[in-house]
Amino acid sequence: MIEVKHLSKKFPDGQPLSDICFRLDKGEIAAILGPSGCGKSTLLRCLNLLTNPTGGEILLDGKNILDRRASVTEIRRKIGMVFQSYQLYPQYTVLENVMQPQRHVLHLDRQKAYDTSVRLLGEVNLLLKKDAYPTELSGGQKQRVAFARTLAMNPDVLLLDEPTSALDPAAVVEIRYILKKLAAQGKTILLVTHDMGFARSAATRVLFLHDGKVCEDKPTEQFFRAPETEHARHFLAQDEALELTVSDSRFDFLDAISSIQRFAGNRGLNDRMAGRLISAFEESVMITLLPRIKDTGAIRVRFAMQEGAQVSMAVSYGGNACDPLSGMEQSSLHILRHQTDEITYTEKKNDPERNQLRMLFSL
Amino acid sequence: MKRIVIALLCLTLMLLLTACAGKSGKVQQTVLREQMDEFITVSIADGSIDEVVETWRGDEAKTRILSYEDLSSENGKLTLGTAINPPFSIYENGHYGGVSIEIVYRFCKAHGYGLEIVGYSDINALVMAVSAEKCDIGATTLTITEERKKSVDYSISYTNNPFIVRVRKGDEGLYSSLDDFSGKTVGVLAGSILPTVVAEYMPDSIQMEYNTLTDILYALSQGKTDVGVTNIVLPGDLLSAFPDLTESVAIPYDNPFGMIYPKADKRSSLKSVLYRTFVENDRWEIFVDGILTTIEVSILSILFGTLLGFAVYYVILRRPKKVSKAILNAVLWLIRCTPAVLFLLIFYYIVFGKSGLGGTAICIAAFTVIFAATFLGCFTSAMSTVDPGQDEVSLALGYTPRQSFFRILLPQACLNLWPNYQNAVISHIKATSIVGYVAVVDVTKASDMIRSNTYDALVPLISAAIFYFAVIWCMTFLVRLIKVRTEPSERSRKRHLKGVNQHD
Repeated sequence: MIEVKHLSKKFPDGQPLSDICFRLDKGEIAAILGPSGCGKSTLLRCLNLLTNPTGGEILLDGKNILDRRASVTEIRRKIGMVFQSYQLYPQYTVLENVMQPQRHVLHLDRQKAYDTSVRLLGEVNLLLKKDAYPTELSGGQKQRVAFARTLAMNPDVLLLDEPTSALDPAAVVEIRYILKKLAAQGKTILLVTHDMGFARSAATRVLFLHDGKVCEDKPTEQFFRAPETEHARHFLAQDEALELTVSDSRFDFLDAISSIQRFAGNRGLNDRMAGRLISAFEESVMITLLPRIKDTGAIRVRFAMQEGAQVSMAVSYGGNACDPLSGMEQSSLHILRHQTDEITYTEKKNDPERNQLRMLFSL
Repeated sequence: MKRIVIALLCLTLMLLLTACAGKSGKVQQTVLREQMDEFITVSIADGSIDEVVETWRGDEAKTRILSYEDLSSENGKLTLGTAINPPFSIYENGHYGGVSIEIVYRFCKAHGYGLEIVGYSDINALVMAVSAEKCDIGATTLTITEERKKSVDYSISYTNNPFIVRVRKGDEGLYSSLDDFSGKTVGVLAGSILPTVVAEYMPDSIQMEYNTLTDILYALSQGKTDVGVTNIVLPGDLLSAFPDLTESVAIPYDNPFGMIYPKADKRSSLKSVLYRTFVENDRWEIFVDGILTTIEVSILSILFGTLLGFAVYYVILRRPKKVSKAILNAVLWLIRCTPAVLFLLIFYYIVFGKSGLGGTAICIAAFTVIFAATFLGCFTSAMSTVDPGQDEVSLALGYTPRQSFFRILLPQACLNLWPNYQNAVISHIKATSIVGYVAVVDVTKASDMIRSNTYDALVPLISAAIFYFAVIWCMTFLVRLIKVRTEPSERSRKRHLKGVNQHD
């Protein structure tokens, strides 16, 4: 059980946390959400005392850990943290990475440390890699080793900084499974993430941070369905859709592709769907509309999730009324019809962006 | 392009050849020697040599200029080699002067020779240069000895300059005969005849070899030695700089001075050179002592320097504060920018000036500080390669800051430390070759001492070089052994499982 009261943190050049209050019980998984730079990571570091808070209280099982008499080392043992960059020890093998902290910090004998390590590496599915060095592992594997290493210290509270940022979809599912199991064992878990899909599916609570305060503190579904504050609604809406603007021929196509891929990844859409979106974007915007950009002016493209497991792609542009579907090359049209489930063109006479092309993709 | 290079090469070659030819086609040695011996005999007889000696001991020495550029070269030009040693060889006002130089100058004037003067760093270098026919004649405080006669030929003696023991004022009552110096430390001039003479006439004294007369007197004045031995004839201003010193017992040895010429017949077999270098007079003992000293100074200073450097890092730089870091940086710059020789001399004469600490101990102290500075540089850059996140993750896992440093950060830093450390060790061992400046006999100094006795450069120098090669090879081997213990790629992936039941 962890409780935070009026926690604040000031730096010489700003104040990321001004008044943070929340309380988490055993078995809860809380996701800390909020726009970039809202102090999410600072909050995690404060909870672990890697950064000293300026004011407020942090109660762990009723005891204030910011008390001067409290042993910092003792507290850090109870609050485990998995870093975004994993920070595995490069000089140790996977097994040693999990074993040595137990030997150094908990002073366990080799046999006990070994048994625990093997059990945990088995749980994160890495037993076969136990004699590898970290440099020989993929990002997801490193993350799981970092997980096992932190769990080996048997912490009561687990802090995760961007746990899914380097993981492929299968690994994300695996991490979610591990987290739920840990929560069921009575651990309190706090995670910071940009991945709304992951937060929605893994967390039981959401703490939405804005302006250094906990702006909303709600059960996960309630937060995503009916955000109360304007800030939260804006934040979610921003995340709902992806907007791209093509304003001239020097447009960065590769950057657009990675944005689309990220959009798809964040919503748990599979690679095939991401491929369909990219292909539709390429045929309609890059091949058909971009050569006419002098007539049309800036082209706006908006990808969004729709009800009924559908993704929509809306392309709007100005200039004379012009239906791209009729003027398009046959091969492009063929591909476009093949990738989309529905494609329509409408002309809005009094709109500055009078041409509207809308595509729908079913999952 | 190629043609230009070839043309330039040809030109250089031709210039070299003419230069060599010019040298060989000069004054006939046999004629020169006869003329010089005759000139000296006459000059002694008419008292002009005594007159020259008096001139160069007095105040006139400061202003007297020998205009040897004006000599007519009708009978050829002499190349005179010298090594500064007042008052017999002086360099002042851009001109060489002094007793021995003026005698040669007067000789050239009398016999119609031109004169070109080349300066060498010390007497041994001069003897070797003359022996290698780089000069026609050599003149400075050159005592005529049997040992040197094996390498060069001598003129007849033109003057004597016997030795005298000098002591601090107040001590003169302690000594009445040469026997009273047994067990005392005696400052002598390195590379001169003095060590041999002192060994003969004051057999139970302990010799400390210094590179210059000033150093002998300075060390005596500071109490680093009990007494010092020098020539009776010294420049007046040198003696007046040390008013706290006075003359004591004279050594009954003539110390005849002469000019030297290249040896007419100087072939000697390698076997005899080896014999003279190592076996004769048990010279190998000097060499072995030198080897032990070099090993002692370099290994102890590397050890202490590493510990000192590490301690400084741990205390000051691990969590640096602005002020302490700035002060440390200033000190480091001071140490790094001071040449090792100067640093050593400062330690010897100033820091530990009157401490009574032995020369070897002072050398170890000075080199410890020098190595600590080098090590600190290597270590700081090695530590900066470790991701700061490694410290944070250890702290987050519950390591104490000290545990995190020693168990996690240090082993990682070491991976990047060894290559630089190995280089630092190599340069450091070589740098210790300067301890001879403060009368500590290491290998380099030992080879110098043997060289100054045998006048053979090859064997002592090569032996010293081989020794350094061997020591450095051993040290790099040692460092490599430590490195293997810390490098993950060089050790077993399962070494941490000793005694663990793996259930399979």
